[in-house]
Amino acid sequence: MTRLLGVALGILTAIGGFLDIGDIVTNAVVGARFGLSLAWVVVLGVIGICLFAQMSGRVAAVSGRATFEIIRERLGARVALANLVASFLVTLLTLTAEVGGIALALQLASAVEPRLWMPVAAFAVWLVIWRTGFKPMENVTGLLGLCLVVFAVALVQLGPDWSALIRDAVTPSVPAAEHPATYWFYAVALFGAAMTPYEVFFFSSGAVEERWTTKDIAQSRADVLVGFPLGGILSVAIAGCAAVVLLPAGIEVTSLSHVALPVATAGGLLAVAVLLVGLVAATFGAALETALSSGYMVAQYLGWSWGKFRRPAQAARFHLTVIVAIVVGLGVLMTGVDPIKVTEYSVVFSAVALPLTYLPILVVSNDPQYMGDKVNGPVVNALGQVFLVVVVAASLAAIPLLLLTGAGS
Amino acid sequence: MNRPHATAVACAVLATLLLAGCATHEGGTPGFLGRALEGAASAAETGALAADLAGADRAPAALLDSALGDAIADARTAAGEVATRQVTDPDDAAAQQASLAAIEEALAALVDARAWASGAHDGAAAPVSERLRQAADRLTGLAEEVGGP
Repeated sequence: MTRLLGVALGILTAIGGFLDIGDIVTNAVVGARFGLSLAWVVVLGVIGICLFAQMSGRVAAVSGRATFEIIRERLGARVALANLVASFLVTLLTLTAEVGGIALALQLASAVEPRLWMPVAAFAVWLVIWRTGFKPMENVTGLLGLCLVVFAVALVQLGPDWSALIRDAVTPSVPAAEHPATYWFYAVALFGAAMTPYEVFFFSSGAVEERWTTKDIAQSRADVLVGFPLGGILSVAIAGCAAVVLLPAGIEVTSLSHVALPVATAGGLLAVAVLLVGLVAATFGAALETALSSGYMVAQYLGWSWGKFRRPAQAARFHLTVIVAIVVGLGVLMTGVDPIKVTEYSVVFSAVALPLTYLPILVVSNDPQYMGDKVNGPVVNALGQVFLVVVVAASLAAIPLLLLTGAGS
Repeated sequence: MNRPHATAVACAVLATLLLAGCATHEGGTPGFLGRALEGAASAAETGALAADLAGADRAPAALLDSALGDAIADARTAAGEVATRQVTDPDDAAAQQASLAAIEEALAALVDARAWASGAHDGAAAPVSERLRQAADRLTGLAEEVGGP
């Protein structure tokens, strides 16, 4: 019974923790411009993140070490450094976007300028990392993040033309008013949002924090294979709400308030209250994950003592890196840059960095020296290789499409 | 830097400039004005939706104020882009003036709607959202006229 509850809790936190500001904003932007004609990218991204997250979790459970530690040992310092630099910069950008996202969500609840909330949000992120245990931190934000189910409820309440929405999703095409390059730019952005590099590093480091063993592989697989696809359904629901309310009115999503308007239209004050809790929890949870991931990456590459399972004094350089990352993110936001723009760029640069993150994971999870008889099976390997091709294509296309479309404008 | 590397870097820089140039000059001034007008129309429609929600008491005041504040910021951005665009053709100059006037009309309606939503004016939601929808329709019509379909 306890084990069953553990599995259920893991799945629920995986659903609630799946969405971050990148997913929320990008899906709303896409829904308001393209309807559900890019829903296939969410499906592709969810399959990819399931594949690589369970791979990195298995590596941690079998070896007792986080992915980044093994990458450096297995592939050498130079390749690992390229991986570190790319993943760290993208994670820092994502952390900046998440802290900005918390401030924007709090603005919707208070009408107080986001710039006043940003230092409060950054301090709260640091305080929780410093004072709270790993498991409660993950469970509380994940469970509160489940409030974003309100998007799915709102979509049903809006009473859309389901056949038109499904037709849009299963027979994707470029809308007449949009340039094909813009369509593909948002396809890459959506893919980058679903497969953000920090997610696998956090997943793998979290496995070490929670001291997973080979006995935990089945549960982690259930968390990923059930929780992430259900999280993906919420992503599509966000796009669906925007497609039903904002697209016919010709409203472009340029702020987080746009994301909330369809929910208010469908469910009124109560739905908005639930949404605001979900938005704060999702962005706060992702800010915790990205801040910790920044520390994990640097500490694991440099061989420092790391982890929340150690007292801060025993992992001082790890905690210092986390603090520096939070301060840098806050500094960027305090220049007055638009957090939504930061979010849009963070998902595109995530796509650019994808091969540097995912190729080493595939290599390590195939190495019997670390994995013993738990190396990838032939199906997982075949899927992994197919995904690497997709990931490389998205990475190569991201910058040219960014320039060609003026960041999708 | 050796010669093949220098050539590769030069090609990359050239490709970047070409791509960036394609993005910034697509459609020339009419295309630019059309995109700014569409942005302003989106802001006016956002204001109309927020006014409808305020009238039906379906959203908290903080959300409505944020939505209207964001819409005003979007309309101001569009006005700024149109106002600072340098034009050399008389037809483009006329289109620029017409665009600016339409955006400023929408901006005024948005500012008024925000004041209404904050309780500064009495009255029903319908005239507020109607004024914003008319402004949005004008902007959309002008965007098609100026920037092409």
